[in-house]
Amino acid sequence: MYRYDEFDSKLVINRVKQFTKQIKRRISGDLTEDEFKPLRLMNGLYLQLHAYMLRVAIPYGELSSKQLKMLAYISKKYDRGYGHFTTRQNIQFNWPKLIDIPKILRNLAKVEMHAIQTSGNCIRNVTADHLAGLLPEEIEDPRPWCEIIRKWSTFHPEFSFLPRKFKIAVIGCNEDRAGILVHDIGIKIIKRKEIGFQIFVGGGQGRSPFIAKKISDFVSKKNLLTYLEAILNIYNSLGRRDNIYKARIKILVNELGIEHFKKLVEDRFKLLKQKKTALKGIEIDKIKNYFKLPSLETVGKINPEFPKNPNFEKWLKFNTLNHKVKGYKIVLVSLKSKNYPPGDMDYKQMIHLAELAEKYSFGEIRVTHEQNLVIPHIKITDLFEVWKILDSITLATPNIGLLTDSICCPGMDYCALATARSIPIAQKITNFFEAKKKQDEIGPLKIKISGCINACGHHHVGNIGILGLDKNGQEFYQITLGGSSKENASIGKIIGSSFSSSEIIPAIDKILDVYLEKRDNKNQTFIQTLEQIGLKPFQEALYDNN
Amino acid sequence: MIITEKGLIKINSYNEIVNLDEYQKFNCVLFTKSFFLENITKISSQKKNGLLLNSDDKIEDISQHIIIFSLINVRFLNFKDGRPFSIARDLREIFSYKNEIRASGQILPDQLIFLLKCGFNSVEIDKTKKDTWLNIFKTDSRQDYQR
Repeated sequence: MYRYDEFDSKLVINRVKQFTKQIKRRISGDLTEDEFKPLRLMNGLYLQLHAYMLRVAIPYGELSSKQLKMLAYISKKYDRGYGHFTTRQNIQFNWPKLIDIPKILRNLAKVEMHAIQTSGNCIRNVTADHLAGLLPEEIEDPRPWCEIIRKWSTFHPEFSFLPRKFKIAVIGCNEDRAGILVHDIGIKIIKRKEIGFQIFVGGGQGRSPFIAKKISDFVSKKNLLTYLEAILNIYNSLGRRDNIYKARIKILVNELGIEHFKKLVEDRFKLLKQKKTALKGIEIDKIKNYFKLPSLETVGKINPEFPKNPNFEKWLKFNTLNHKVKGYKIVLVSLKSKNYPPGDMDYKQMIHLAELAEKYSFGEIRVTHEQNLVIPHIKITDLFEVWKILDSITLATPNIGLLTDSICCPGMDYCALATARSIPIAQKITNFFEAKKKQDEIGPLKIKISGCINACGHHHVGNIGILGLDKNGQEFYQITLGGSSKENASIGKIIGSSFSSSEIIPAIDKILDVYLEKRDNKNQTFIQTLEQIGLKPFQEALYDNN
Repeated sequence: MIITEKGLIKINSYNEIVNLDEYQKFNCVLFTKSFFLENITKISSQKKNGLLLNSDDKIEDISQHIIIFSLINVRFLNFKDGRPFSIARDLREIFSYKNEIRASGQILPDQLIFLLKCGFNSVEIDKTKKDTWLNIFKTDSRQDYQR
């Protein structure tokens, strides 16, 4: 994984010093809250419902054991003993005090971490496929490209006061596990005569969801940053600033039309083409070197006999994947157990998992876009042992990709913007469907829950999406069906009027009954079934009471 | 009062004018883009001509004239509106403008280093905040990844 050089370390330490001074100026009154806000946001510091929230960057979701141990220390010392992993592969602390922030940032800097550009109207932490570098079908590992983009976008003097936040994701496989089509810019590594990039622009969720449109079918490696710079320049100059809800690039692309927007970008790109952002092969290779696989030894036994244990077998089926190196498996760690809010992890779990990764996986851990973790390189012969440890710390819930593996925003339990709670709904779903054992019969299905129209829980792209609303002080939940953030990305359709918090679980259950009844066979997905039968049978089951 | 790219505090010598009489009166003048376009034939190359742009002004339509300006002053309508950063970079990199670019309007001292990196040479500042600007000039890191 990437390691800081002296330059990177100095940069982060300088930033901590700068932000510490800014906090002092805020406390002394030299900076007003309005002036301080964009500065603190660019350092990941939000003011939430009850307290400050600090969002720490985990570039492209890659963590070391040492870093996870530091996150555990910070959770215990400065927060309430836990952290929350986000859909953009970062971690949030919900209860730090303003006065402790410089200390937290100094501690993070010790393990090559920071909170830079995890918030604010700038280019945010770049995300990637959490299985980057691990699969045989991958064209090229996206992580070095994320790192190149991370460097280019960090403290970019021109693009730090954009009309609105800006999110970029990169994938290297055909299967999209990073949701590139719901990002401001989605980048897909492709192979033509040479390897380069397809670029998508203007995707996003929030109150006006859009699927990104292809702006370029091929950008060479050399020109990647120049092309991104051209897009950002057009956005910075023409993006709307009169209305916060219309300021994202998706609105600009939609208002101009993709062809017009593309022409502006291409014209700009031509002007910039021979300029300084052109990448040299030697620079690319230097970054790539950081992302080589650890030296995985060839394992003799690749079909070991495991002790008979149904829980282990279920976990093996749902929570492990084949690694490109024979004899190894990729282990997915579910953060969707019924005991914790989705994405939450307590400090003891962090310490144990860090130790486990140190012992069995070269000290590497990853955060997924679906708020789970990955231990990337587990020897097949170690699987039973690894499962036992994970099980003992409530991290072996065998539900990856199933309906209780839902994405969920913090909702009204933490967030100042939320109009309804979302965590209790996720927990109700987990408790209800785990008890009924229905989810195994259903198979892969994405439920995504947002506590307000800003859609941080990605409800628009859930196969079943749940949006929390406020109706005269009561929490209500609207259901959308058919969303997806995969390569066939689509925005879900609203099924009808919303449900109260006591009605929502039975409503989901009815939807699933329709699916189970109508699907042709076990392999037909929820989306395929919906495409085949339409919304009507679901609406009839939910609303036809006569 | 201005702070320069060398960290010096100086008096702003440009006089902001709104009509031709005023234009004739001063030798060192600052005028808007619309004044310039209306009076383009009367602009004297003997004077120090400063052009005042707002965050939302475009520069493409005056790009062939920029050689006449000894100063282009880009006024921030709001410090959160980052368009002036792109305006300055375009002036330098696309239109090869070599004279002074100055930032004015609502700017935070914390934006100084970014301004200098995008091609600004000076910033109009509030004299009561002079020490904060000087302190940031001296202590804020200039280290970056961009080329």
